[in-house]
Amino acid sequence: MITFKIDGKEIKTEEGKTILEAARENDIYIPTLCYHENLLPIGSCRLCIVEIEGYDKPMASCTTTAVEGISVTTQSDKLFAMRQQYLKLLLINHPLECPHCDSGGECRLQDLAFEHRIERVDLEAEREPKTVKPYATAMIRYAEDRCVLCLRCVHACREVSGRKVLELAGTGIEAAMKPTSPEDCISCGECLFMCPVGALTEQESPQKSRKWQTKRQTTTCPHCGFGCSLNLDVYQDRFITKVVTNPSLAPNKGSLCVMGRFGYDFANNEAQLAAPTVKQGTEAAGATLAEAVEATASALAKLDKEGKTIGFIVSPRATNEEAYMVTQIARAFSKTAFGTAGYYHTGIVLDTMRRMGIPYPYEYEALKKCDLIVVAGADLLGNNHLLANKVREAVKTAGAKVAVVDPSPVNLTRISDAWVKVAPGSDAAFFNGIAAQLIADKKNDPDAGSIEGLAGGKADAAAASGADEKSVDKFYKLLSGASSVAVIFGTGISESAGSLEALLNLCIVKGVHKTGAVMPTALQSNAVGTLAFLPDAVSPSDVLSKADGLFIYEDDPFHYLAGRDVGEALKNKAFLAVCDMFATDTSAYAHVVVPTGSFARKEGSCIAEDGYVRRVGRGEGKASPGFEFLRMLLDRLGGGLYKDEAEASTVVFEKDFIVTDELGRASLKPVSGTAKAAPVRAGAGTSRKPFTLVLKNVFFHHHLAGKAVYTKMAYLQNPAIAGDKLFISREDAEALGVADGGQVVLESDHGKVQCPATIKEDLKKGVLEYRMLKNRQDILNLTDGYAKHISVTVKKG
Amino acid sequence: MADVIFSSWQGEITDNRGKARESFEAPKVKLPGEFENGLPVKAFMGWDGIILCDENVDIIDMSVKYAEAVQKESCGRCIPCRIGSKVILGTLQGIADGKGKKEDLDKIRTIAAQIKDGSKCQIGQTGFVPLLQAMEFFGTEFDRSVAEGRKAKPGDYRISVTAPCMSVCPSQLDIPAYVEAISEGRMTESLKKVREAACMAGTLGRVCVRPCESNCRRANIDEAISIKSLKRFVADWEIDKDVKRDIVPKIDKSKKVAVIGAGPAGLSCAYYLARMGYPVTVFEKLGEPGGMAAVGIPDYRLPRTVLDVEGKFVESFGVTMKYGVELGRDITLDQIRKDFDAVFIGVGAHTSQPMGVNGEDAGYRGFIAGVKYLLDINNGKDPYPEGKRVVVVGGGNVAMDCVRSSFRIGKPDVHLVYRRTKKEMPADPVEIREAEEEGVEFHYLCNPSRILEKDGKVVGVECIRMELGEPDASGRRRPVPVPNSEFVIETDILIPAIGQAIDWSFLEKKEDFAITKWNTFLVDQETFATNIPGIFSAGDCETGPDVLVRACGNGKRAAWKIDEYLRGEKPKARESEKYVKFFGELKVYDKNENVGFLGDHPRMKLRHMAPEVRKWTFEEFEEGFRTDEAITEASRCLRCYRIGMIAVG
Repeated sequence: MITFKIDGKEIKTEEGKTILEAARENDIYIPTLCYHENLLPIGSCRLCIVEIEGYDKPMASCTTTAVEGISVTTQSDKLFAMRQQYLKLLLINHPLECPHCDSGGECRLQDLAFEHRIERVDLEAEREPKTVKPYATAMIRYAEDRCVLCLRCVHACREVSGRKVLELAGTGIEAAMKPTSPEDCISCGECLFMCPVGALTEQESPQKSRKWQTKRQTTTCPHCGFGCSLNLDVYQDRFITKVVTNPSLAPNKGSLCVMGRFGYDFANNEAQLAAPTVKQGTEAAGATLAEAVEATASALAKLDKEGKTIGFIVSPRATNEEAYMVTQIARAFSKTAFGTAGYYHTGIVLDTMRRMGIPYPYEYEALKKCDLIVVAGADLLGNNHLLANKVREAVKTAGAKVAVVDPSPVNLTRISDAWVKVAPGSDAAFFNGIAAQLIADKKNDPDAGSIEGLAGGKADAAAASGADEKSVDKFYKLLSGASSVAVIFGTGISESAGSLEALLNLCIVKGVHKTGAVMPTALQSNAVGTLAFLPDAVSPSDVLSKADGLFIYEDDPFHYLAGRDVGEALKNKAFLAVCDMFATDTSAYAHVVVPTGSFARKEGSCIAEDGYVRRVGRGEGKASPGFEFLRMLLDRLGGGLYKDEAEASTVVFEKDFIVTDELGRASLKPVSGTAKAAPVRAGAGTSRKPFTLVLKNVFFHHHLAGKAVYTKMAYLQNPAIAGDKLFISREDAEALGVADGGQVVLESDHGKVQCPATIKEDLKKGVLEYRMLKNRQDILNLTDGYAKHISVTVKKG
Repeated sequence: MADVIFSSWQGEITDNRGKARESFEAPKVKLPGEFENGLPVKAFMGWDGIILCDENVDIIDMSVKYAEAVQKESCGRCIPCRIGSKVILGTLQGIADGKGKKEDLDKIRTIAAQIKDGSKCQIGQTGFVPLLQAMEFFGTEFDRSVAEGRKAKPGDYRISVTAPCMSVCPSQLDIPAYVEAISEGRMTESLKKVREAACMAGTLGRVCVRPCESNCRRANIDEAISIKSLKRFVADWEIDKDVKRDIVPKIDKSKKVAVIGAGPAGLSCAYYLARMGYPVTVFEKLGEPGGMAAVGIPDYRLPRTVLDVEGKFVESFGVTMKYGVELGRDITLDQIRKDFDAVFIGVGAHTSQPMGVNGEDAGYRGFIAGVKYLLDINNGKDPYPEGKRVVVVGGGNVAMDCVRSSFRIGKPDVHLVYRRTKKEMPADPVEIREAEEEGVEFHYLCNPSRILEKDGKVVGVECIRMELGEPDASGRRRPVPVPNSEFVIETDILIPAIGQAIDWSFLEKKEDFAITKWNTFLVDQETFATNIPGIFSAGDCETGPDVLVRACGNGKRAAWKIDEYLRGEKPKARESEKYVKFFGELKVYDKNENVGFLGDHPRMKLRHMAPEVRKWTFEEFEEGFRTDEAITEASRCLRCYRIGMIAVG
């Protein structure tokens, strides 16, 4: 700690903090425009200048580190005059169009000009008229003349998102921001969030409302498992005008991805279901909620009486409260089965971790304490983009090294210090070899114990995984030398039990669970929560085959299972009730269909992939019709009448598997006990056919139903992140004689599909990648269940 | 030197206006009289003030042109400099056009002071220093212009940008630019910036003697920026992160150039020629790139993998490398001259100078020259495995490499004999300290007088004590033997490392070449041309043993001249080279300057292996910066760009 003075007041702060940081900690105001706490200090606006006793020149407080004993002055006539002058300079060429600027009322420049009592500017600085340049993507507008060149956007793009879209071009007065490589843009909107004025604004919602006309509601992003905090601006209690974020809210501190920032508009979509329908004969007819409740209750009760199994499939995006209500409803029946799509990845992962005694929940902030971050089988682009941002932050502020284990280039390969391209399915062999080598070199955690069946070394790891030996050496050097390691992993690993156990074994051998963090990702916002609340949840495909009567809550198995099989199963159900926001392929089979509301209409909680509870806050309207349905159905079945979601929440938070820590944060109850490695599984499988098709299941929420898309998100057209595209390695394309964009035919044991293939640089040979968006079924029909890796043959089409 | 009429340089006011020439006072600053032959320096306007040598220079016009340069050089990042300098420029132009108003002068003064006091870097902080001085000391000119609506008289100026660190860099690296890029996280751009000025980023980032760091303004506040290690950081970044280079070789010229030697000078020359489109073939007698850097610098300081990357980097521009081809053995110069349109010789200085002690040419077992010793070690060979005691003679970097390498091939008992004191030692002080840490026994103020041998094997060395007398030509005090002070150090191995010389055996007819009295190639100092048309030379074989960064820089400059030669022009110095000379004489760095900023943040240092561990291994003993450390260190840079403007007409 050091002690110094600001404006005569004695301040204590940590060594290494800047004067501005210390001032902010102590609520001392220093005007700023370019400074942002998520970025490295930029130092461009010069408004945060302060005077320090004994030094000639004012210094920028954002870039000057505090030193013991100095005396700082933040307000003086000289400083005021300088700041005022700099603001006047900015205003020379800045249009005074605040009344129709998107940021009017929420603009740093407006505030600062007011604060510095600027009434007019009598200076001139001629500037070439700038032609209006469209911004990199259709999501974001750039009003060049409003730009103050604070450079926050440029820094945000580079530092936070790891892209290189924007640069400052030109010098002197002609300097301007320029999208130098627009093709690199992923529309994450980080630049827009950072813009202190109205230069970068959202294309979707210009002037739908003024700031003071909307209600701002904090909630949790529904799109992936990370659990970002965001604010909805809601107009007239029924229309979301935009998503804004707050840098002080954990865990994302204002950052979002394209889905979180721009994917809200499905909630406004008029195609959403308005009223329940009940099938009479073969025709669905409009019904009241009470009629839907009655039809569902009596049909299910009848099946129950006949000794039939009632299956419940709950979306991993439903809230804990909704999942809880479903379990209460199920208590009315004697034979039940629960399924949720979160089972396929998160369910298996958490079960395995529990079995092996690996600590969970974990904290994202642990990344900053690790000197190595391993990212295995996790794309971190479609889902968990924010986790990649966190990794970049750890690299920037704590010097962490990054190692990627993945056959495809992923979000973090650019900054990785080692990238091991293991063949899909060979991860187990790779991790086993590395673990064996650590033990052989005595670089293992001494408490790890031995692992049954572990043999070989890093040479075997390279040979068995088809990875380049040099990359394996680099990986091993980083891992063996690291003192604390974080391991992030995703669906590429959970695809096989052998891979998952092998990775967790390696974590135990290295002591990752003790000195660092084992960090599984989740695909959906409440995968963890629904699994915690549904007793003995299994996979939806199991429930589909087992149950005679089905109750599906906000889920559409056609999204992730082969439609052939789902259709076959649904066709023969004695009863099917579906509660969803839009008509889906599943709802077409339903006897009862009840609308539900978007995330913006929900109140309650969910559990993110880190195991911590997040709050879901209602932005618009009253209770979601989906919850109303659950509430009334439960009452009808004799389970009692809950007043509202809040009442359900009370029960939810009383569950013994939810605990609250000393900071008041609720989470799943931590796993206790000592970690124990699993025996090595025999015959780690590699692909039986020459190619492996890797599925990346990204970008979906309620805004996709069947092949309909209920969002205007222009990102769907962005080639950098586009969905429904098959990628092939250059080597394979050349060997097959397929040109970039040429047709290929994929054939698996279960089906065949023809589609164009795009060449992806750096993709491993023998691997194809498909990002599912709308045309899911074409690809899913290549499987007979849920799969991320599909063994296929490839021919030129 | 020019007669100075007025100077406000570095705060020293010399005002000879209205005085007779013979009673002129001379300021401390020494301004070169000519920018180039026939082009007199009439005035100089720069970061520290104004120097006027010719009263016909129009101070207002000069101020306008300088403000124009500031506005052009303003990087556009900070508000005061980006916009404020444009407001000043516009107002000044009005005055120069005879349309100035009285209140303009105050407006300029106010804004100029606010730019000077609040800008982010030295472009803004110093950009209006000369203008404010002009308005102070030539105020009547400004007043009259405004009052009379007088138009300024346009002059002829030469403008250049420099920085204290840059101004002394023999390779003219744009140091503030690449350091700033690191501070902003633009690592690849930073490396690109380095590579505009030199092709050996990883090597320079490890072994450069870094004149920049002793001319770093940050040292006036706390400590110099770790410029060298930051360069290493970005070079390592490319390797660690496997960054793909977007280089497409563009060899579009037909005239061919042969480069002899793939050392720093040769690689650099080949690199720039290839970038200009020439087909270049490099002949290297060793099996790898680097020359003296490969065989003379041990792996613990400069791993071979780094040089390998740099060789491949140069190759990627379309340069043909012929390794293992020795001039004079595998190919003759005559043959090369027949096949190529120009030849560059950068063969280095690979042989050692004699000590002048009896028996040194007797071929005793255990006696080996420093450079030969290092070459053997670098080839994985211990020339005298049975020897455990080592005495190295000399005080330069080669001597340091010899003593420290000795531990690394398992010699536990290592001594260094140097005839002067530690203060005079030419080796890098950091290296001396590291050798001390590793346990080298230093014997100062003594010199070998006799080699002790038994059965043709070295068993010891007799030394004589020295004392320091009068300074010699190098300015260092000359060591003088103390009579009857002989003593003996027992040793198995004796290694003279007192200087390198050129091994001329590669030339059949050395007599064709003009040679200097130091036994190096005599070349035109501006063009690097030898006396034989079409043959150029730079590097240690031209300068004598010198630092790596100079060889790099001279190799580059020679490439420029070779280009001019091949285009049929008369090779001559570029304007940028003239500026280097000009700024060199003017001195850009002022170690007494009060920078006026709060500091107290010592530089980041690289982590070292512990001496006891590192001394036994050739593994690189320093670990490069982590990303956060590099960013923190780079953020200390004050970006001391300065604009210099010379009035020549």
